[in-house]
Amino acid sequence: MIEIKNLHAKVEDGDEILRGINLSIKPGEVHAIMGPNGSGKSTLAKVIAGHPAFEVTEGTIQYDVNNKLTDLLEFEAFERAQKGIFLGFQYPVEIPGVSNFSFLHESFNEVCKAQGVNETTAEEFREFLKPKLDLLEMNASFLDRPVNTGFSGGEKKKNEILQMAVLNPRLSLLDETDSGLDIDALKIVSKGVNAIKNKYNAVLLVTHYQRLLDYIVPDYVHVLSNGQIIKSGGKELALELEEKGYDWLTKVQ
Amino acid sequence: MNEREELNKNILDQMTSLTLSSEAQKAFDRFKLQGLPHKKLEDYKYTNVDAFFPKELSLRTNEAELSTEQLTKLARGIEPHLVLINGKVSGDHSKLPEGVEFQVSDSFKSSSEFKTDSLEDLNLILSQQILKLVIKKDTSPGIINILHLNTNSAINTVGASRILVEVEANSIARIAEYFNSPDEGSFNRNHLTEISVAENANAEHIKVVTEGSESFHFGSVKASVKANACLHSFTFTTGGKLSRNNIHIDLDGIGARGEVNGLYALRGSQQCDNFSHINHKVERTESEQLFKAVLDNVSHGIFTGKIIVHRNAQLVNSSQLNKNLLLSKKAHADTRPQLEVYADDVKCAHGATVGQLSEEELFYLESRAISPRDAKIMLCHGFVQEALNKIKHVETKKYLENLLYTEYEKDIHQRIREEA
Amino acid sequence: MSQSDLQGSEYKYGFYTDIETEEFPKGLNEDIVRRISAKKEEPEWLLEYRLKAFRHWQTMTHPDWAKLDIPAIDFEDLYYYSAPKKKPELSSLDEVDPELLATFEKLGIPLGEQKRISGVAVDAVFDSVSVATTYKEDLEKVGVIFCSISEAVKEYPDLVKKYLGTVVPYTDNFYAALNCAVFSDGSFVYIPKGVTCPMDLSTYFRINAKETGQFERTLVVADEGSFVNYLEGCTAPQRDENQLHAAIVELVALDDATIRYSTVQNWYAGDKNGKGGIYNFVTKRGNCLGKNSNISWTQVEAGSAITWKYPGCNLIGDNSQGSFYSVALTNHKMQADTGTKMVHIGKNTKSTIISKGISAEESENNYRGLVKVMPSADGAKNYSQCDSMLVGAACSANTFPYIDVKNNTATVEHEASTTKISEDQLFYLQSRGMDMEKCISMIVNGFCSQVFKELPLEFSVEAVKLLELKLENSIG
Repeated sequence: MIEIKNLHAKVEDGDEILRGINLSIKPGEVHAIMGPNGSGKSTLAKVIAGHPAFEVTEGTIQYDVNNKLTDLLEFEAFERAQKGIFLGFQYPVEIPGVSNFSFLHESFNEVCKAQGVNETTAEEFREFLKPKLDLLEMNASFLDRPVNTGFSGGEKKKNEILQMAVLNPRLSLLDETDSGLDIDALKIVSKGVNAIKNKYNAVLLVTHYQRLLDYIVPDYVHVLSNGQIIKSGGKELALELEEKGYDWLTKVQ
Repeated sequence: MNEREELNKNILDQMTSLTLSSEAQKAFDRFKLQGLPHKKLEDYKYTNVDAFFPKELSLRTNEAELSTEQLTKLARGIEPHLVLINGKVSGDHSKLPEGVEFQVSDSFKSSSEFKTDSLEDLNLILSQQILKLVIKKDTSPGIINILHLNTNSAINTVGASRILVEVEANSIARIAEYFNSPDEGSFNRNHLTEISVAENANAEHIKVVTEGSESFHFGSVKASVKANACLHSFTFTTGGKLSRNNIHIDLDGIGARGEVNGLYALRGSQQCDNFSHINHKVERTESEQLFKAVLDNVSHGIFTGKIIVHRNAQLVNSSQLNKNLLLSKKAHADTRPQLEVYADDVKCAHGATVGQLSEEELFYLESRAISPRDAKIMLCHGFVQEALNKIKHVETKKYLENLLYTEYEKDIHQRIREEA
Repeated sequence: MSQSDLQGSEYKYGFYTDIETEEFPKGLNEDIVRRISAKKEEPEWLLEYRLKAFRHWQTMTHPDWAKLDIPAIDFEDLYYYSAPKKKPELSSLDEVDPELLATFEKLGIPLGEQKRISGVAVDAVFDSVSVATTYKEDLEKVGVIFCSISEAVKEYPDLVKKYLGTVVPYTDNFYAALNCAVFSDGSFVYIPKGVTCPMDLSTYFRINAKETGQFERTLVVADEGSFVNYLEGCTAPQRDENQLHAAIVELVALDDATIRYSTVQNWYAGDKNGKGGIYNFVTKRGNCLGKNSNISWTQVEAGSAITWKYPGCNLIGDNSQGSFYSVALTNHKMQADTGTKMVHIGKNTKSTIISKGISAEESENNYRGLVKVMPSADGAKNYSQCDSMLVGAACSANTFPYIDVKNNTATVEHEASTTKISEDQLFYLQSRGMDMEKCISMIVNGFCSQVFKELPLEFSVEAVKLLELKLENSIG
């Protein structure tokens, strides 16, 4: 579904962070990206989603939409989202003055439009949201609060997964979704992700800790260091990293 | 004699024929010394009021009457309880809710000691009537809409008016003052509202400046909040060529709380100067302030927010934020959040930002499939909505949301949609 | 060597050096200005400059807008020139009055060949006259000019004429005009193209004579691609009448050049009752003239009875950057009104302001800053953070920022907060075995750490010690 070839990216006016990433993700797969701080994990997720702070200097991201291959890099962030790319932010942005409901509704309608489906009315959308809220054990009152404003860390992350549930993306890039969560919140968030994933979509999990992978089981684990993938393996690799740390891999480089 | 001196002399000459109460006489003596405020005064650094006091300006407004149809038109959808036409109360059109006591007098008795600037002194000298509203103890009479109207006969005059509001203990007061004048003609308005909020009372005062586009608006709100009482103040400005909003709140009793918020949305060459002063005089008082500005074309938005924590005012909590959104290259923002703290066991913070929409916020929305243009519109709207959300009285909030959209936001959203 | 009876043991630089000085009569008039210029054998153009400034000063009135309680200064009751009589040959330290050398050694600035501070070239200024400069030959080898302004006027007149007064014109303010008329000496620095100055440069000011105003003038010019780290340190003996310090510092950075200017100020602040102490009025400004140029001001203020200074940057070249890091500590009855002025003129300029104020006892600590974005300053970015810490219930801290933005592509952010040392923090540290004083100094150091880490190493150590010393008796 998505084929990343020799991706190089840097911060504008700054250093190169991604130095030749090669990654292939097929529908139905869960990939985990792990690695020490500063390795570029977050950057990879952001670059695929089209974050304006990064500049791609080399490489391609081939994306298969309905058996048509496109280069994702030709599209802007909102177009990529319309095509089914979803980024779960590590630090969800607070937007005071904009209600969660109108934000979700507008976003959902944009995706509907792009995919040739009828837009929903406000009442229809509220109905549509009910089961998703239940899945994430979120109260309907969340919808009337301003986006992420005054939310606790756990609530913000749940809000990200709620959006994922609403937009039903083909490729979800979850950037350290587990950071700052207690066990209960982690379980609920993972339940949400697992309920959404199926054989047609895929998930890329960026994470530091093995813990999340107990709940969302990966098919592949990749270790990113210094902007490159230095090792790939199955889920056992994550356990090995938990035991040994990253040194044994990065030292070899 | 230079221009300034001539201006002041002209005003003084006109005032000598007035009979003044003892308080007004004191104000006259002060005005004689200081004259009109000017840019060399720290508090009026950015505001030049001279242009609105031309030689032909008369200090007395002409009375006028309005038919019910005319009134409805000028009321722009508000159901008024108290109507002032050219500064004088109109008995025909006013009907206050049950339980609100109303008096009119021509002498002044202030309940607190407030320092005044020369425009406030002018208000005391020129107000021909003092209106007093009392919200009786333990009552909750509902919204009181006060409509200040100017008719064409008020052009080239100073329309001065003054209202005292007493919110007695344990009562809940909601007051909205609307200032409307026609777009053609230069109107000079000078109004002062004094509010005292007694123990445990809860008051909200909303000031709406939708004056005509050639008008000068000077409006001052002075409030004293007693023990465990709370005042929510909101200043909404979209009108007037030059408006100056003075807001002065004294937190006078232990547990007193003041929320002082505002929104000014300007375009063309409008200028709005918001001067706020919050005084924490005793301990355990709290204040919160959010003032937001949206500035388009070559407009000029100014904010000065003084917060003073007196020496014995320990355990005070105060936070203040002024955010400015500049929509065009030549828009101009001045902001001076000021903190004077004389007590040490306090938590005070203030902040100010000036700029465009945040890139991070735009990306967040775009990553949810919202196009860049729609994202911009959403954020611009969210920006003003955050301020409007501070208004407690729901109907007034809805009215203002609608007013802001039709008079201001609609055009901006249209422009964003048409952008390349 | 005498010690004044009035102070406690707090100010260890409070000694007085007995040395023969030459003074002009008290008071200020055109005649005195001419005499100063003649004494220094200045060229005509410089005398003209002084006279213009003096005449302009006469038309100005003392500013009173700062929130300071300044007892009127009688300008006629001051000496405007006081120089050590035995003026040393600038090429050899042997001829320097040994008393002077001893003074500086006591301050921790040994000037003697064997004992000088390695890695730091020092220009020692005693009562407005530059006494000696170490490491001159080493610097000359790489083309760096570091000497007194008086010498620079004679040896490098073109350079001085080109830049003197371009950053702070004499019309700028009352004290700038006064300085331009009667400045006696100060340091001149020129770093040639592409040169990273091999050592930190430092000027040490010492006001010794009584009833004398000190009017130094510093000019630092960094040519394209150069880099210099400049340190300024100041001390003064304890006296019961106030002394006046009105200085001007001008910095000019051309394309890709960087100037870092650090000050640790420890003038005598007056005793517990507010008697004595230095009046410190300084105009410091940098012109980031060139593209990508960078000027940073780092200061730690712990002295002077009344301080009035606003180091600032004019960000003229595109992509230029200005920064201001400051810790201002006031105690006893000190008053400080400090802050910065950042003016954004070129495109994509950036300014950072971090100001930490600590007030103790009955002092008053004010921050007054101006961030101005001109219509031409596309893409300007500013971030300001002003934090105040109050120690004790009788002091005050005030923050007065002025933000003036005339360009909508600019981003300006300002934050300020006021706190006190929390009981929780104190208890936590005490429960780990530290006494009250150590606790407070630890907390205060943490509060100031953002600023301290910008100081060059020697200074940061001195700064920490200075704060501890000053706070010693202020807890309660």
